[in-house]
This record gives sequence, structure tokens and C-alpha cells, in this order.
Amino acid sequence: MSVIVKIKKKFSFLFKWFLKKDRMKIGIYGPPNAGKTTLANRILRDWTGDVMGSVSEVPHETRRARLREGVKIEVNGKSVMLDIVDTPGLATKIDFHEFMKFGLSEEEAKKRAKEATEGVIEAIKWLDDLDGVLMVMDATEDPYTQVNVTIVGNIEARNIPLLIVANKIDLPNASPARIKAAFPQHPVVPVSALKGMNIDTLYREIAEKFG
Amino acid sequence: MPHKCTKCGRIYPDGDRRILNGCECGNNRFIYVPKEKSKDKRIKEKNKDERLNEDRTGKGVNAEGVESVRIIDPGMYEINLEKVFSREEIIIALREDGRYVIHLPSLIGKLEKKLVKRKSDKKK
Repeated sequence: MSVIVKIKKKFSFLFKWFLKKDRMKIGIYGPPNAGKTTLANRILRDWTGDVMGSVSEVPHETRRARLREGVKIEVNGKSVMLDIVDTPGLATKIDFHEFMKFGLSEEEAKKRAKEATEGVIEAIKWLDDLDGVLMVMDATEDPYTQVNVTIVGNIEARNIPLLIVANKIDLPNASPARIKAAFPQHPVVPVSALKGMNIDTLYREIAEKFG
Repeated sequence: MPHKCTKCGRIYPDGDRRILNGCECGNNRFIYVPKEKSKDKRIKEKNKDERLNEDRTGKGVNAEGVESVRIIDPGMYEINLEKVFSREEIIIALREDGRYVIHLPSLIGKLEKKLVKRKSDKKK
């Protein structure tokens, strides 16, 4: 082994320390109705006492990305300062008829569909500015979807650190194991953002992964 | 199980008198036909297989097209996630008639951002 490699190995922790950002910008991604905003609200409520945005059973409630800066998470003496971006749900098809089933008028539904489409583009464009991603998946749904596979594949291609959150484990038919089996190359944390179940494990993983 | 007349193709439900007495066309030979439900099931299974194949390859309905977004009708959109991820510009396809729109602000915004970054790098 050459001397340079030896020196590099010995002092690699110093390089990492110098290069380390004091603040990490983390995006919350996933398909519609996976619980992204519910998770963002949970994190913000726990660490700042604030909320990110409104949640709804109607898909595509979040249609603009929202940024909350300076969220400090402290776990077991380790702390990490995060800027959190809550993004609109990613989808391949958006149809206003789906919203009309929830009682929206045709005009409102069409407006929502247009904004949701813009939201998908905006969410993807945000990826250029991120240091890490929390990918939220609904543990009651089949994880082998085009949206999930495409997002994970592209995040991998960009070398952005990724943590998968298997949400809605409070529901009886939830199966986080199915998500683990689908994406074995990434850490998967089962949580219920709504009920706060296993949320401490998620904070520990966030501090570990992004700290 | 429904019966189908081998001559005229009329279908009679299970237990229909005409299966015993003969078809309206005078024919008295019938074949069993699978229920409509099983046909639906087959279609569903086929769709599921297609969807899984799409998912495994990571390609969607529009993976072959150039467009990032296809406007099928007002309020109905198809988004080619792969294209949005991989391209800087947004290309919008208007319905199915081969008309395309390139969304310039998305492209110009990116170029401006790059120029500003280059200028600030030069100053440093």
C-alpha cells in the first residue's frame, strides 16, 4: 500500500469532519396518500412544536413543496440540524375524476389535478438541492409500483442517502416486511406517523444516517 | 354454467328451458361457455402481469415517448417520471395528435441558475 493511501485512510475522518455540512436538507418523498405530510407534521411537532401543512384523505392535498428550516433532532447525545422539504406526492397518472369521488366539483377537481401535476414536477426538481431523502411508503399497499421503483432507482443513481419509512403500521393489514423485501439494499423503518408508533427509532436512524 | 348454441351463437343462462327444448334457431347442440366473471378475472390477471412487468423494468406507460407530461384531457394527465427525472426541460404532449410544447421557463430557469453559479464561482 502506498504511503499516500495509508495517510488518506488514517486521516479520512478529518476530511469527513471538514467536509461535513452543519445543516442537511432532507426531502420527504413518496406516492400520494403515503403519509408524507403527516410524517413532516409529526417531526416538526416533536422537535419544534409547529406543523408543516394540512392533511386530507383526498389524494394530492400537498401540491407545492414546503420547506421548514432549522429542525434540530437530538438522539442519544447525537444531534443533527435539518432543513425539511415536504414534497407533493409523485404519481404517473392524475385524473380529476378521482377527486370528484371525494365530493369535489368538476372545476375544483380539474384545478387540483393541474396543480398536482405541477407538484410532481416541482418535487422531482427539488432533488437537485437535497442531501438526503426520506422515502415514505404505505405499508398496507403493494410496494412494487412504478412510482416507488423509479424514485428509489433515481435517488440511487444520484448517490443521495436514502431512508425508507414504512408508514401506517397501526393498520391491521400493514406489512413493512414486504417493503424490506422489495428494497433490501436500503434501511427500512416501520412507523405510524399518525400514532407516533416507533417514531423514536426513526429519529435514531435519521441522526445516524444524516448526522 | 351458461350454454352457447353451436349454430347461431346465442348464449343461454344455466337452467334455461331452451337448453332442453332447443335453441330459437332450431339447433339443439350447445357448448359450455366460461362465465363472464372468469373472463374479467383473466383480463385483471393480464393487467396485473403487465403492470408488474412495467414495475420491474421501472418503465411506465410513456417510457418510450419524449414527453414529460401528456395532457389527455383537461384535468387528466400522464406523467413520465423517468423523463422528468432524467431531463432538465419539460416537454408537454397535447393529447394524442403529435403536438408538443416545450416548457421554456423550466429550461431557461435552469440555464439562468447555472450561469449565476458559474459567475459566482469565477468571482471566488
